[in-house]
Amino acid sequence: MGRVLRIELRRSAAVGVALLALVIGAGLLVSYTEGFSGRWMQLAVSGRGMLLALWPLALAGGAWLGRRDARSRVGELFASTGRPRWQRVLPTAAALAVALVAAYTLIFVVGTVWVVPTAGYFPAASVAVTAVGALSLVAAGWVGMAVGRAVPRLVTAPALAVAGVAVAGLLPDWMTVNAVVADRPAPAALLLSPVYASGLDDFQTVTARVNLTQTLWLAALAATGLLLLGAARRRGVALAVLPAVLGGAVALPLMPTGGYRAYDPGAAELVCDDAGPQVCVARVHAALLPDVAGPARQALAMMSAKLPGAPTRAVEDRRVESWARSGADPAPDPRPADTLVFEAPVIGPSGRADLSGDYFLPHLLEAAWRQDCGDGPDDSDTRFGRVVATAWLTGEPPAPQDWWTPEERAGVAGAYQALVGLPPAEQQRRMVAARDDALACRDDGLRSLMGEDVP
Amino acid sequence: MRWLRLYLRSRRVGLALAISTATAALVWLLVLVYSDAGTIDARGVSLTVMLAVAAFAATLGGADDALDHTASINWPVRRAVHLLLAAAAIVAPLLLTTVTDVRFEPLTVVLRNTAGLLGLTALGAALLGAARSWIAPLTWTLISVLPFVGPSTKPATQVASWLVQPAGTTAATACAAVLAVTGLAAYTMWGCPRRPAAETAPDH
Amino acid sequence: MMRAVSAAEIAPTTHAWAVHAEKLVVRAGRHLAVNGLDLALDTGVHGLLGPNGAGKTTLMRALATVVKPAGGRLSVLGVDVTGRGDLRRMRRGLGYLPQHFGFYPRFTVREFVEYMAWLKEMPKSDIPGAVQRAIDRVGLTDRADSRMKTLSGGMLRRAGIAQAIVNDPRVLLLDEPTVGLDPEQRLDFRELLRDIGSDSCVLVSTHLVEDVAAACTDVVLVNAGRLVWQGTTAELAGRGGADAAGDSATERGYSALLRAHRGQVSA
Repeated sequence: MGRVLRIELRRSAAVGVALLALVIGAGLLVSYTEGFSGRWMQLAVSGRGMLLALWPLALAGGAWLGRRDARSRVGELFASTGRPRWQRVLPTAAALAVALVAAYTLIFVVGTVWVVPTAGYFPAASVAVTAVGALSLVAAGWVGMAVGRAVPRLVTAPALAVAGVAVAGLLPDWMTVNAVVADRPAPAALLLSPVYASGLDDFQTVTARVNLTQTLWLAALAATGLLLLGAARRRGVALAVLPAVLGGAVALPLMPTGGYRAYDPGAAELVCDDAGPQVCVARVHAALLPDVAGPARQALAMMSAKLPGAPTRAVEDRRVESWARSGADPAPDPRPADTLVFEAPVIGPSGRADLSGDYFLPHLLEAAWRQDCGDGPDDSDTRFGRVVATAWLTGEPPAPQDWWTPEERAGVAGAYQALVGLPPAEQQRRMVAARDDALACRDDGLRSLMGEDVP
Repeated sequence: MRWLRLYLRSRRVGLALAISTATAALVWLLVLVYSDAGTIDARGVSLTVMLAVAAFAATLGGADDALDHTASINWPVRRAVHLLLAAAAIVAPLLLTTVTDVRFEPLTVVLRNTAGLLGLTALGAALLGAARSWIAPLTWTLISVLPFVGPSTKPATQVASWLVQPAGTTAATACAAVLAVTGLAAYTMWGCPRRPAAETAPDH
Repeated sequence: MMRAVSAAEIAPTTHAWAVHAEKLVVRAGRHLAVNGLDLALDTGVHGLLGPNGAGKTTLMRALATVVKPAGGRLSVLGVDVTGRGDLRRMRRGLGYLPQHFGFYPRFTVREFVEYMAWLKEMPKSDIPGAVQRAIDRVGLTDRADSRMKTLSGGMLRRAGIAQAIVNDPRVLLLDEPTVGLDPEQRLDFRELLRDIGSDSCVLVSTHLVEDVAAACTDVVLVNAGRLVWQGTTAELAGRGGADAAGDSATERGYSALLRAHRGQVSA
């Protein structure tokens, strides 16, 4: 078996299929390293998102390989030999599995180049997520081989791939949309698909329960593929379907509803810089701390210079972004007045903070008038009020943004002039009032800066 | 008419036609029943067209290309006509849907993607043989359906994901045109590579 | 190349004939290609002769256990093929070269023969040596590491013979093995046949009567699915009268026997 496996690895299409998968996967990964740089879990989930292309590719590759015997017309010759069919297909199936697992692992390894230098948090779940992804490719390859053997036609491989996209990608998509429209949690059946097309927030992980049930189901699916491939008689074919049916029946009730995302307290743990006013970021963003500490302290200093009761420490906002929120996420603690809670800066391609465009300091200053109230987006007056407040801190008129209308520009400029025209004590009183209102989840104070009636 | 029938049978065109039509019908039916959308977008169009093209890929080579090659007919013309008729046969059922409630839209995307994918397949058939000609269109289509691949303003991305760019994107249209013309030219001039005598198993 | 001899190999054969068919019926599609054939073969090289459509290939396929007989009895190496015999063990002693043999074109000759040796469940340690010997015996030593798809028709045929003999089969079935071989190679091949036939049962189906005359000890003549005649090569040569068609004594014997059989059937 060892020598035959080597022959199959050398001569069969298995390595070709795996190489194609590797090139596509690594290419896609490298083309957008911002998506995972410095974060293990994001790297693992990027790989699982890519399965939308790789999984059908493994199906097609398997089908191509499964059709080989019919294409080469070896049936006559092999029928006269003693080795049973299931033993004969084993090295071919093993070659495909080895090649696909190697390709998927290599994609992950390529990604680690952008993760290892800056990653401060290594969740073991990221390895589990990758392992489940590799297993899903094996299952796809073996099921593809079985189908390619059963229907040895040229169109089988592409047709199977399209079916794979539909079943593993489009169907879950459709189910998710339906669940959202009906305001239900996403059904557990979604997790039968190994594809995590919609990603994950930095503060999220995939629970062991999801990984284990998926492993059970995908291993059962792989077993069915292999048994179908090795089945020599009708009864063998009927028995071969059993593992997938049983595996699905056992795994499905154990899978949680609401999708694969779960809050990861480990990722959200704080890492602080105490040299000066305290600045903290989440552990998963530890690499950003050196870049964040400077601007954060600058912002704290500017606030304490002008704003009575200004915050004395800055802490990263660790709330999951709204697009990734699931019902199970913990409700946020209200932000205390002494703490500036800011959103982490954009992460660049290498895993360090991308501060280009000077957006970060205004963003930090603005955060003094921000509270997590769990509502929808702020109305425009509140947003512009915050712009005026920020400008007041810096002492310079607000720089108009490209997307503001002329009326908005005039409104903001007018509001700023009106504010700085007041006596300094009154200015301070208004800003403190606006902040107290904002932290108490009222937007009156900020709106009043824009000329709304002050109650 | 008789030789035409024989030719179509020898290339198994009937099967290809059945598969491509059935694919379009199935996609149309699924969207009609399970979706409120009236439009099958560029992703759906690409997957449908790619499968239809793959079905026709099997007809690009005969049972024995070397033997075919010795026939004293004008192969280049026949190959070009074969390819163009295949394109027509793929587009026809998709066009038919424009009179129904669920449509493969927009028309220019349907035409662009069919031309590009069929050209890519023909190019693959000329270089690797009909048996492997589906690999490149399948791979490109799979990359295009990824959720983070979409309309873009960067020309390089527009070319890489030409299948899902909106109608009228110059780079995407140019990419499809280049594929179509190169594929048509290569396949018309060379046809499938003549396999060595040892490997004459037909690929259907 | 020395190799260990297993107990199974030196065990006395308990069966009378290597191949024994009684009233054998084999279908090829709906047609009864072999219809009531009686045949007994033992050690030696047997030439299987007969006109096109006589059922030679179907008979070979039945002997190779590729198709199950539809009726009658057939035992190969003492194992009843028609019943529930231990086919797996019997097949280890079988070598078969089909008329059209399939192969993986990307494999090299050595890999292909090795793969076949593995399929024939040879002991792992014997395989490399046996593969090399089989390739040497068919004269493909210098092409052993070429891909199968690069071989010419004659070389391919020899690779097919190499895979058939790799396990030192006790029943070797060769369906038209000399197609595509040049005259020199055919001489070598006859030598090889005589060598193997000294301790195995070799059945060679062919249309080339001179191959039979030169290399076979025995001739089996079939027509329309039945055994027409069985005897030694010398006897066949003696059967041909001066008026029978043919350029050699063997050919004349062949056509005389066939004509006589046809007359019998139509009468």
